[in-house]
Amino acid sequence: MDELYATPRPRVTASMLPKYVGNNVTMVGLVDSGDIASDGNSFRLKVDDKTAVTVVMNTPLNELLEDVVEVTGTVNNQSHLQCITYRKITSTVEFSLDNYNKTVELAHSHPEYCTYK
Amino acid sequence: MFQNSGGMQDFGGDFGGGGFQVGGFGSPAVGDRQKKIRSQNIVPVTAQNVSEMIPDDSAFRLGDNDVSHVTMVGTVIHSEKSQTCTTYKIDDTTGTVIVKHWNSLDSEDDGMEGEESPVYEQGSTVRVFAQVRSFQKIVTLNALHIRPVEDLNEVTVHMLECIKFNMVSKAKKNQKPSFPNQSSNAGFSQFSSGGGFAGNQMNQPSAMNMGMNAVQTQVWQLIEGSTDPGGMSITEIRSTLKGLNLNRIKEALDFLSNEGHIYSTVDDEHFKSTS
Repeated sequence: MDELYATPRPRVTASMLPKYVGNNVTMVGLVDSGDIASDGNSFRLKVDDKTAVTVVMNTPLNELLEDVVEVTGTVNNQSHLQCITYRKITSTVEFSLDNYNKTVELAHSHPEYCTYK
Repeated sequence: MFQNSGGMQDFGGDFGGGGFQVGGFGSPAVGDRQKKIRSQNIVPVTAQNVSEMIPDDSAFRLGDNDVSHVTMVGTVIHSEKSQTCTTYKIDDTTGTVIVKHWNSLDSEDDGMEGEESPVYEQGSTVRVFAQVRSFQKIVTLNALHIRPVEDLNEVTVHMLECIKFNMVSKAKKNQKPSFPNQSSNAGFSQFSSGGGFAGNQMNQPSAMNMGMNAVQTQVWQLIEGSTDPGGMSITEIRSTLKGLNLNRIKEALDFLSNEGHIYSTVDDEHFKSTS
């Protein structure tokens, strides 16, 4: 797992996935328990109101995912995320996914202020 | 302003908010003073910033800024507790940082558990306030205070704070004080009230375009950008905006001074911007 942390894993939005094929990225989104495949090998992560990204697991999920989840993984050429690790996010205050997405877009549109090498 | 954004509020809003705003970025004294006054500001950083820091005497430099205290938000990916300190490896998707948290001296007495600093487990998100230290060329952080992040929006806010710090220090460097204060203040007060962030354009003072045509906007931007205390003269404007003839420039100057955007200084030929 340590090699995962050796390189930066930029936070991305769904529209940026095609640019990061083959790279490790981090995405945050909502998971509805109905969006998990029955074999536990994949699930859909809703990253904003309109887009959902398919996340493919190496080992089947052994717990029920719901609400906000942060997934770190590799982007494959179908713009699916090959999950390396995921984290359930619990927040006492409602997490604004909208603001988060806007921030990520802002960070990417101004690479001189916030770089992911 | 930062009190409203919520990120630093728990830690005594003054320390984070006040230090950030009041101290300003110009406080590090350089050069002619004999005693080097260390910057007292807490700088929001990403893990990548930490690895980019260059040791400079007893302080550190990040880009053009002197940094001694920083704040970071990230996830604990490794924690190791020893008798004297706990070492964490904290990751924030841009990189990882080693953070050492020394045990507080109160808990050394036998039989008195006191304020044992809790060990943060792997996977938890924390906010760290720390001093920058380097050891054998590796930059690490000495944590002054660590607390768990309860509100995930804090992660978002921290990213924005880092961006803002970079923008403001770059803008100060370029000596265009009017632009970043307007845009980024407007942007952040909108953010803290929960919306309208996308409407803010950071790169152009587009708010200034209202009511002005192209000629007037060009003349206005030119005068605004001038740092000359005597103001900009008509001849300078003419030589810079070669495409405009004198009459149109004069009309634009009349319009702008009627609207109150500029005023005449040395004589009727020199103008300065009011903002």
